[in-house]
Amino acid sequence: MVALRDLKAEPHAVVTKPSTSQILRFLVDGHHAKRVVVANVPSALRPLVADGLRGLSVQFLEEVPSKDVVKACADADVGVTWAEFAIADDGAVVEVAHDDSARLAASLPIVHVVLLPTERLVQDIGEGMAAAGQLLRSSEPGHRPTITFISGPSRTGDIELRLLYGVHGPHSLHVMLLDWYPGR
Amino acid sequence: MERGRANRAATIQQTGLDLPAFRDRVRSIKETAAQDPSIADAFAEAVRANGGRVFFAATARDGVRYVLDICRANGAEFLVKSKSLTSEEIEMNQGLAAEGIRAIETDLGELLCQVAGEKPSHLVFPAIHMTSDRIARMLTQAYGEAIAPEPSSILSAVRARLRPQFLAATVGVTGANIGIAETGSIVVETNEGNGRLVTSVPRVHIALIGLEKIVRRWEDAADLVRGHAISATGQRMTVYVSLISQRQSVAGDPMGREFHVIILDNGRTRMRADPVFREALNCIRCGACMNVCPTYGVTGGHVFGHIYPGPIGIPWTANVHGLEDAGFAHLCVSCGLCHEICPVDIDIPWMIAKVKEQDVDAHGQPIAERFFMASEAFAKIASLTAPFANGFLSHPAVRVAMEKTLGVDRRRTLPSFAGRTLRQRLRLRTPGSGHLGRVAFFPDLYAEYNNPNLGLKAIEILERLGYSVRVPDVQWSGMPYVSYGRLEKASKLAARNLRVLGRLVEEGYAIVSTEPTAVYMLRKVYPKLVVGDLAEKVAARSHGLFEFIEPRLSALQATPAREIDGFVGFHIPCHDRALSSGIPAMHFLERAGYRVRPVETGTCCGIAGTFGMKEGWLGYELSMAVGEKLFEQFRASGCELIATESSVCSLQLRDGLSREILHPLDMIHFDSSRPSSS
Repeated sequence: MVALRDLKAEPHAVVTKPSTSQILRFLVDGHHAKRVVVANVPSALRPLVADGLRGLSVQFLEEVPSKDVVKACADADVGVTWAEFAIADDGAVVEVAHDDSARLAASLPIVHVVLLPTERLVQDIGEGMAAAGQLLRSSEPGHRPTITFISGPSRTGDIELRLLYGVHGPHSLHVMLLDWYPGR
Repeated sequence: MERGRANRAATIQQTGLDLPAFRDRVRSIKETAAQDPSIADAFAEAVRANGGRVFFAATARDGVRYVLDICRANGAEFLVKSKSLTSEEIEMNQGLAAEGIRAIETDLGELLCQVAGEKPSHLVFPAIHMTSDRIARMLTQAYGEAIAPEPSSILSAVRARLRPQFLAATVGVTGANIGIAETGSIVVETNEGNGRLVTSVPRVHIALIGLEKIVRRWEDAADLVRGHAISATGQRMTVYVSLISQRQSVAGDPMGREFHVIILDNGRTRMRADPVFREALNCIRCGACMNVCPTYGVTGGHVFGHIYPGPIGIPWTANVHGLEDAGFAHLCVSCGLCHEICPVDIDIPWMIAKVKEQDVDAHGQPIAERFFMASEAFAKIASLTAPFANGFLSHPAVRVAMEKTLGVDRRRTLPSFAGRTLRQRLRLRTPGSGHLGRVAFFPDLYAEYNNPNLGLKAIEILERLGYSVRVPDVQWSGMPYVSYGRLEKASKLAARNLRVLGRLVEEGYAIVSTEPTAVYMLRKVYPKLVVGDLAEKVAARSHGLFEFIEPRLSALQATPAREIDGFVGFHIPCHDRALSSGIPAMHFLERAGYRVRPVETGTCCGIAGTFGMKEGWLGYELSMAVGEKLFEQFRASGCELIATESSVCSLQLRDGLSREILHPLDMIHFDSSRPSSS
């Protein structure tokens, strides 16, 4: 969690299953969000996400016609996606995408909320890199995932070498650490 | 943050990275990548197996043509682009514009350069030369709406402006930091997130990669990813590191998406075959060399660069764009720091010396450089005619004349000459009989002609410790030949000195010098000038005085020659950073009872041998501009005395600070009784 804060990402511990919806709602409301896109979240978790976002305009991208996906993401205030694992020492979360709706939902909206199962934290960058290599190698040619290590919100040092956040990608990155997942 | 230097050091410390081991690993990865042509073929095959298309571009033109064809085939009138230096190398934007296709830069720094109509001035921070006031004014004019000179307003304006272009783009172009042959993947690293959008929104993604950037396995890439972030900006990892192997569908629909990889040669195969310039192919484009380069720091990349800026830009430019565009090589002052900081251990200074050699062969040599290369002959005459020469050389009218005829800047204090040289004074002395071993003292010019007392003191210390000392029949070390691109002369001189020193080393002599540059030449440069065992043997036995005596310091009964309450500010000469970073000399002073602190900017003091003695901007003025930060630090440090080992750095500090600058040997006394020598 300290590593995440160092990167200006905001970590949130989610201890119980029911609190997943509440914390998600709290975060989304904190940004006064109206429109949310969700992608790449395991189907077992979708009801919890839907529950937390009740009353807002929510689109699960798997159900959206492909030609409308980019626009849906561009119009959304918040994107909710899934991290396959993360690196504890460095605070990098790792997105594994077999479909670009996940990457679009994570990069077009100004706020990105990523769900991360706490049990899938690896210790250091060496382990993280090895895990990514394993994923890549075990996939078949033509079916390889796009893997992205995300270390904090979008940033630039291009104006007078000052560190500024949210230039093209998200301005805020919330990481919900699901302690309870996968749950019994 | 000194262009990332402070962050880099902090991150290396925090992560406990074993830097030398890491450097070796990265180097061997890059060497394989740069030298083995079969890797690019394997990569191409793997990309095709994933459903992508591959084009080998022999020249810049071919690369641009391919991008153009793809745009036309897809009916694109513009494309969005994330930062790619390789696309700058082939001047893609201009080539496309000539055919009516706009390339829109999306990296903030690159975009600002594009709006300003300027070239990037730094590999990693392309708009490092612009202030926020200027950026706001520029964007206000370009976008036709008022933008406040606040970074946050600039950011929102750029975001709002670029968004529709991202969304409407059919074609996205990126560079690739690394290619991975085994899975046909590329690694794209960005901090801003523009690379994510360029590779996910448009239907067509074209990646442009230099063939030297392709590695065999993912593990190799993983090491490079860490190397990039730490060396470039001091981050642990770049914000977005994407591993892309193919296009993905969108919500389950393949949507006819395309992935093209252009593998660029453009002179790289030729470089691969060149024994010197093949080194440049090992570059990971982190920008660390320009962050440390003293003259780049003052001039910036528009002056110190063509398309590839900074130190590594010199050999790259000479090879991919030609010698005519590499004239900025003469801004290099041969301090050697770029080699020291390079995460791949690339011998950038040596390649630059080669480019300078080609350049002076083609375009001739300034008179001042010819004069300084004759320093030894000049010192001999001046010393024979001292004190007349000293009076003459300090006369203002003479200095004006020297400036006009020889190009030696009149404002620079020149060292005075001693009437009797070190060798002459030693003739009257009976050498001690050492029981510890034999030392050949290498005086170089300063301890021979300018300050023989320094040489005598060094010899006295060595004898007190139990060494027998002689001054061999060597000439000077000859650094200016290397700095000014006369490598043939440098090699001749080195060969002559090595013949003398080689015999002595065979007889068991160690070689010791008080001049850091001389030790640097013997240890690091002579083995390149004269390839073979002889130079290696001499290099292995050459030492700086303080490094050599350090294990025996306890046997020296030294006391401070100056009574001070405060501390000594110590300046580390650049060439010593490749050797011992001044540590043994500081220990020596501490042992004598001084408190010592290094005062440093991490880069050169500016004089860089004889560079700062040359007349005008490409000499004295640039040298003082480089030095200003260091002078400021010395003024602010509150140090009571200033010490350095280098004879030329001390001239620079004296001229910049108007204070006395001491050599560590000037700062100690010995007890009159000789220490027991057993």
